[in-house]
Amino acid sequence: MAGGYAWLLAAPAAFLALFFAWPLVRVVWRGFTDPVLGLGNYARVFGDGPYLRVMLNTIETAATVTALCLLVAYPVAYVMAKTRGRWLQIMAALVLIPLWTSVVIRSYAWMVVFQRRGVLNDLLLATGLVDAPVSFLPGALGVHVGMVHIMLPFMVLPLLSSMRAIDGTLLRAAEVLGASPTKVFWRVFLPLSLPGLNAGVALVFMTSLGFFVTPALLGGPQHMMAAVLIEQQANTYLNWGMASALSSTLLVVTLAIYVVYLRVSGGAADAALVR
Amino acid sequence: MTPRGDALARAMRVLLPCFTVLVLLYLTLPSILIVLMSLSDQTYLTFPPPGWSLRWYRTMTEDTSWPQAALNSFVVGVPAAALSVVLGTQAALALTRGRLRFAAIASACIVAPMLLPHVIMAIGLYPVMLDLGLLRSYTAAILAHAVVALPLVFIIVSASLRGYGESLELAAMVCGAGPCATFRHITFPMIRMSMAVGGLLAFATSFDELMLSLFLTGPGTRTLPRLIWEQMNAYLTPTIAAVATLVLVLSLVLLGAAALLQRGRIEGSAP
Amino acid sequence: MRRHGMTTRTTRRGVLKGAAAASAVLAFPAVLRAAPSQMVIATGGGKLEETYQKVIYAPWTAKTGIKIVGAPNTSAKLKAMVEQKAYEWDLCQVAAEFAAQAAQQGLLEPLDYGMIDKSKLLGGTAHPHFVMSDVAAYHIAWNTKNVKAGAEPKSWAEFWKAAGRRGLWKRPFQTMEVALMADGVAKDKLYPLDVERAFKSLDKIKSSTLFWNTGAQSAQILIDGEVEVSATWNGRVHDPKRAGAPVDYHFNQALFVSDAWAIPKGAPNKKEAMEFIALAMSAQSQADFAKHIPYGPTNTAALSLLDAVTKEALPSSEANFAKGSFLDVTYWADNGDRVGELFNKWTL
Repeated sequence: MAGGYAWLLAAPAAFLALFFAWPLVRVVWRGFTDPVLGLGNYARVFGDGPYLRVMLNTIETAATVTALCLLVAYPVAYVMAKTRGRWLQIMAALVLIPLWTSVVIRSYAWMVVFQRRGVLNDLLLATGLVDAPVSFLPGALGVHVGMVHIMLPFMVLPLLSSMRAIDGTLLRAAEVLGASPTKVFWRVFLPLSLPGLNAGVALVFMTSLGFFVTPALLGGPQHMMAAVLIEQQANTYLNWGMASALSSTLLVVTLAIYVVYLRVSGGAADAALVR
Repeated sequence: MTPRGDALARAMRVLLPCFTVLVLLYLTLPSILIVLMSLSDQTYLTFPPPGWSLRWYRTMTEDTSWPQAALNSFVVGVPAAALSVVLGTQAALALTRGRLRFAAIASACIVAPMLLPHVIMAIGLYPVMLDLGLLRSYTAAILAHAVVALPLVFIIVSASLRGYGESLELAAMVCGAGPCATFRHITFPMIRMSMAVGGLLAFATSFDELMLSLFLTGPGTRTLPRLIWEQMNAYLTPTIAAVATLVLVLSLVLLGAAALLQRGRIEGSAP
Repeated sequence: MRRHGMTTRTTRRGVLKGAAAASAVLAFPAVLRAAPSQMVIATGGGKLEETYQKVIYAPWTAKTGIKIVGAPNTSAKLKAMVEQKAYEWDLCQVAAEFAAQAAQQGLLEPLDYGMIDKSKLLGGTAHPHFVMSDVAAYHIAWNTKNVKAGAEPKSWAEFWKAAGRRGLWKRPFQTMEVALMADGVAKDKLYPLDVERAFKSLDKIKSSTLFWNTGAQSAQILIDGEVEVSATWNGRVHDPKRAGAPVDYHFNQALFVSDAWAIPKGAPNKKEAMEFIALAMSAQSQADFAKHIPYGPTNTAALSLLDAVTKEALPSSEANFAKGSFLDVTYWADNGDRVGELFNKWTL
């Protein structure tokens, strides 16, 4: 029977082989051959230049954004999972609304919020919390608020779909058996929501690694992320060898993190994926 | 309502909804700002606008490329989402239920398209689509978007599959149900919510994807993000905000319609 | 499929030669065809393309019957189409420093200056593989609400000392030159760039500078008062200033930059593309363009077709052109990658 399931891999594997692996092989090959055969591009990536710093920067930013998303999304998904009917639909709509506005346009909207004469400063000045406008841009605050805004739906939705599937009778049983609501949450609800949590964390972390527009617009040059570097090499300098080497490095780094993450988070649920 | 509710839980019952309202405000704030900016009477984006006007909506309607691009986005996005749901679910089933020895590597590979900066995918896919004679066709964009959206479906559906044991499926098969019947009656009802969520996120990914569209679409097949990008390179006028507002309104109408349909069905099926 | 896969790799030279021969055969019918019914021209799009549509594309179609289709000038795509010999563009307009880089990599067709008249062009604008089409300026601009009249920086040195926050482009091109001028390097002694000195100069203002990403952003931060002063391109602040936005600028010590017409190497409709460029570079076309967008003509004969008010806004009019200096595109083609790496490292 398990063998029957294994056959299901054929179609997606063929699809990805043709439209992902094959193009990628051609690109990765360039990392070793363009402009000359050898490890020259990789020597540059791991050399004295800005590349390693940017790579670490990228990982750090993605990790922070993931943690923030989780902290914000979990309570929201929890409340949504306990809600039914029209209110749930309204809340779901509000979570989905941002997805329909282009990331570029949303980043501009955040610029309007964080400007020295922006919405936030107006608010701070009006309430007397500050005497002079604060410079938020470019800065970590803008980058994080902007990126969390973009990634939040990708954390809420898997959590919600996982929480909605939790069997209410289990929770009631625990309560009947005398567990306090807090205990029910930690011992029963949280473990049962782990699949959604893991999916959300993986999704947000890995998507954040490829971020381009938001850190570029809201962050300073010190917030440079890997995708910006790669795009520069490919588009500005037409140095596809270097762009390929950088991409391959990013790919290896993130896959390594992914595997480590799966092993660390590997309760019973995730073990299946690693085994 | 439990009589035994401790203080923390009572506090949470008030705090959590408040927090949720704040977060939902945060999620909607940029959209509200964009709507307001689209009504500006200035030629540049500024907030708050010194005066109000509908001139940017007029500018937009005078240009037929906007509705064409919006239509193209749907023509590309819907099949791309459907394709990634079908393939992503198959992959999720195979890797969570198939007991494959190389499952870890395989799942890493399936997730990989999401990690790569799209410019690299674009550079790699350009010659492949060329060889297949698909360059500048809808098909090229659909296939490419399905590649980057498939991991979303895979991750979400896998999580959901791992949440359920496979005992129900095994039981069905032991009772003589074929694989198709087992999927239809047992597995599908359990994971359809995740498939829907995955499909929605896949569509949203395609709807906002720029780099692959830049490389693979042509003037006739260009999508909304590509047109926005082309326009924004020259001048940042409130037309862009007007377009974003219309897309927003359209999606709200669609979401509303879906909600009504669902309610109609539930009420209709009630005895 | 495999055939194409192989062409770009392993035994590059031999296979490339074969591929070139094959494509020559494939292109043969195109040569026999009388004239194409349409041509694809890649530009920066938006208002630029709208203007070209009015002042060049329409007359061109009227004259030759060849329709023009616009496309965005995604720079990596140029390399992809030349390597794959799958041409989407018949010609393109790209940033001149990018054209220089592309020419160096052999991605551009040599121009036929028998067909394109270069006798009246500004010095240094006619290159073997590309010809500069207009002159924009990277210059000092300020927010008129925050900077009092008369207190605006007159030079880059004053720009460096200006109170409050300032904006510069988050790319090394132009920003390095400006940093050197701020440190006292004369505008005609910029090249080759003293990279060390430029970074020392940039160090002085790093903490009070907002490095913007796109031209649209530079205008926005100026107008909204996010910065007091900023470097920007004149096309970005010209219209807002006229519309009453609180922004002003001048051309002192401006750095002149250009877009350039070029033809992808091996593109099928070469002859028509050259004819098009000849038309686009004519005094009349350039003057018509400058009436809509304040990027000055490179054809000096165009200036006599323009009135004084229009010329006042153009970087290449006699009075303004004397105030600044031209970006050296060859320097950036040779050193762009290396200086870019140093610049990225400096910003981190």
